[in-house]
Amino acid sequence: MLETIEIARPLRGGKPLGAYLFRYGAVITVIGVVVFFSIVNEHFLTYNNLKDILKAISVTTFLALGVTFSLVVDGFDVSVGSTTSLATIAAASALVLHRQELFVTLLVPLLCGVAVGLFNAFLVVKVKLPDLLATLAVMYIVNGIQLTYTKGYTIYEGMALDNGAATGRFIPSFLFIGQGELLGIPVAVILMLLIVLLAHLFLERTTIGRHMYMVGGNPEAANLFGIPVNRYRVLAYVLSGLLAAVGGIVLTSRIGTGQVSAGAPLLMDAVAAAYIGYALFGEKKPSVIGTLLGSILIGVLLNGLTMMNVPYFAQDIVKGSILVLALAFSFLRRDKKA
Amino acid sequence: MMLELGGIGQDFGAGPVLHNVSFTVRKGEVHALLGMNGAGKSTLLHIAAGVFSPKEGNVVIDGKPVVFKSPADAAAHGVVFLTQEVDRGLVPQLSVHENLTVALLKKEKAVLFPKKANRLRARQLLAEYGLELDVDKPVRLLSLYEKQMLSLIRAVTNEAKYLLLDEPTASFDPREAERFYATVRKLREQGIGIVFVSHKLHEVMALSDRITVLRGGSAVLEEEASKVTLENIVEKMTNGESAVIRKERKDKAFDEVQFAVNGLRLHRDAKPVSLRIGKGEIVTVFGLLGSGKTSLAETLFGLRRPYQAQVKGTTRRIGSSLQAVKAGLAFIPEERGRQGIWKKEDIRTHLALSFQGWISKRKETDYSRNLISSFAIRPESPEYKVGRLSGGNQQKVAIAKWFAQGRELALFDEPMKGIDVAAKETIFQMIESLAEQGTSVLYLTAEPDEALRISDRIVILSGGEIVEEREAHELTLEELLLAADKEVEFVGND
Repeated sequence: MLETIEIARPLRGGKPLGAYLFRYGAVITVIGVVVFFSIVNEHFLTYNNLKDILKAISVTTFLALGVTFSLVVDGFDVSVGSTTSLATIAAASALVLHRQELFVTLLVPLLCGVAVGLFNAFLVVKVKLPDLLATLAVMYIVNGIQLTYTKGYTIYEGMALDNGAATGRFIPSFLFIGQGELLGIPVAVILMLLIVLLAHLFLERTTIGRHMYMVGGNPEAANLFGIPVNRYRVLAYVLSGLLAAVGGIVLTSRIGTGQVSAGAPLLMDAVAAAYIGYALFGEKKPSVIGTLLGSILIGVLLNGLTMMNVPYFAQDIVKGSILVLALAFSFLRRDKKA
Repeated sequence: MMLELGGIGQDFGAGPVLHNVSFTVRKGEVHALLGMNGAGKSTLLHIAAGVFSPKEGNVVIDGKPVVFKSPADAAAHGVVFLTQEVDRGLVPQLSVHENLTVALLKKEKAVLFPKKANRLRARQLLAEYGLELDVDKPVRLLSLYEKQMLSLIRAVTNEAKYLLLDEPTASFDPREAERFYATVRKLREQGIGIVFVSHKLHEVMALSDRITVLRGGSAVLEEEASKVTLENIVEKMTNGESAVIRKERKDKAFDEVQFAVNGLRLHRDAKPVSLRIGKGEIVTVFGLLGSGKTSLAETLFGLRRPYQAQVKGTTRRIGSSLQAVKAGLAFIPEERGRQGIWKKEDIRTHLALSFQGWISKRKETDYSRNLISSFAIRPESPEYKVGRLSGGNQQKVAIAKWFAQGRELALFDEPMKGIDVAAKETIFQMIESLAEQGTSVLYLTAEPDEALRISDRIVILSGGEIVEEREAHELTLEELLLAADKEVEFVGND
């Protein structure tokens, strides 16, 4: 029999500089990008510009948080973009076509988000499809639903209908969500920070959040500890759908119309933000704060590149390269350790 | 014509594992290699198979000294090692005939191969060794027996001259074992030398020509099988020593039944199993590999079919791990790394896993420090990632994670697998401290010395049935070894 020999390892400290560089590689990337833009453009580091950046990323962050929850239980949800589109249409339709007040206008898209989340969970947990493929299929289905419902037309105030013009309108209380400000801070940003805080407390400071991480880290061990693995996976997909719906509400409110497929272009940014967050502290663990920073990094890049007059069609190249860089820092480190 | 291992010595840095062991296997004989766990059987087999080279001594094949660089090199010299993990050498998604002929084709440098001819060839080979099998079946769908036979046939068609078999029949039912022995006898007639490691002493006696017993890294017996008895062998294996036996706890009568289960069937043909465990009692289920131990543990923990149990007098239905935990059960599974811990999480998270509500880091850290010092978990930092701990410390964490909630019954499935001697004793003490706090313990193992060390009572399991039940302090190591090997009547279903 081979006997393992116990080797006492040093507790802490004594890490070389290189280890820190790898550990905080993604953070360094964020700071580096911010410093770079501040130097090349004097208007970059102004209150108004920073406000713009945060406002611009608020919707993406909701989607990215949704993806983060699915990553926590070791799943993956790529249907968040479509869910956002569906929520956008649901909110606009409630206001313009059905003349509803604020409560129903918020409730309907949120219920849509929960429904999509439950459907995803059904496919992944019960039918046992691979998460990426299941949510990809749902992405198409949900996108098709919102297109079919609107026949491909954007919903706006006074739009032409079969029986004359639509009489509903975007009520001020609804528009306040995406366009209003409190104490000089956009409401959308306050809402984003509030939900980031709640999600962070939920995942890091409650045992329910901890159990979700445990399910993602080792589902078999979690099951053998009596943690209801499938229940937590369902919860993660429902929260993902719900957060995507919140994103849809904020988006509708900001642009003041119900554009079809409005969420689709946000998907890739959301996934990128969540993955940058995943790599962020060298922990290889999805986290809310990481996702927020990932989202900020993407926002900063878009804003800075636009200020530098980089055409929008070239910006994706830079975005992709930064994602590679951020991920390479932490994944290289894993290889070294192994 | 023989494979000779001469004067083998091996040392992994913690004292000699093998000391001046000489072992030979001739062509056309079955040579059984026996010994308790830790006697050095595995090490010797690994050396013979080229997994590692010996520190001292040499390997000689048919008079020519050889040095194996790798298992593949050994195989090229005609020495093939078949481990218990038969899946290792087979490609699960390929068919039987492809798996069987892959090495042959490589040797013939065939670039293209006609499937039809290949199938035919595979069928002939299988028929020759009496294995009935659809050659188009993917290997992943085969039973353990079929995989083991396939590996064996493949080795032989690949011109293996010496076969090293490590507990090949452990999980076979008696009929499969019988067919397997027939094949082994046939190979012997063909002039193949076979080294056979098994804990089933009866089959060893029936099958072997010669027997070597290892104890503590030395060969203590080498004899013709016809000249020794079972009792001789067991005596040599144990040296008449008694293991460390748990002291009899006369003060405790264990009258208060804490967990009871009646008429639990482990498989269709087995007699039902009934168990009663007192409060704070430690009961060992002792059974060899394939006796149904893991099956029993998993059933009790609700991972197989639902069943009824009496926990502290109330009837509970247990059909899932969640229900088992709610009924007050804890489970320390055999595959620690895969099933018992989270490698990327720290010690604190494990120990505080059953806490509810808001997480208070300070409270958890204090709680963790307490457990860490009581069970000598090293390193002592609660923030240390469990994946970086040694096996023994990982197991301590895997057990201690259940301590926060009072448990009625804790199931341990081979908890000492891959754990060093020092950590073992701490883990025994953990289990005893659990029992003193009123938890009943069911300890499932194939190691007789562990069974004697930890138990108040020993239940012997064989073929999915309880064959004997004894107080631990009444038993000796020898009796235990012999009892577990009682032949069970196989109830077929045809």
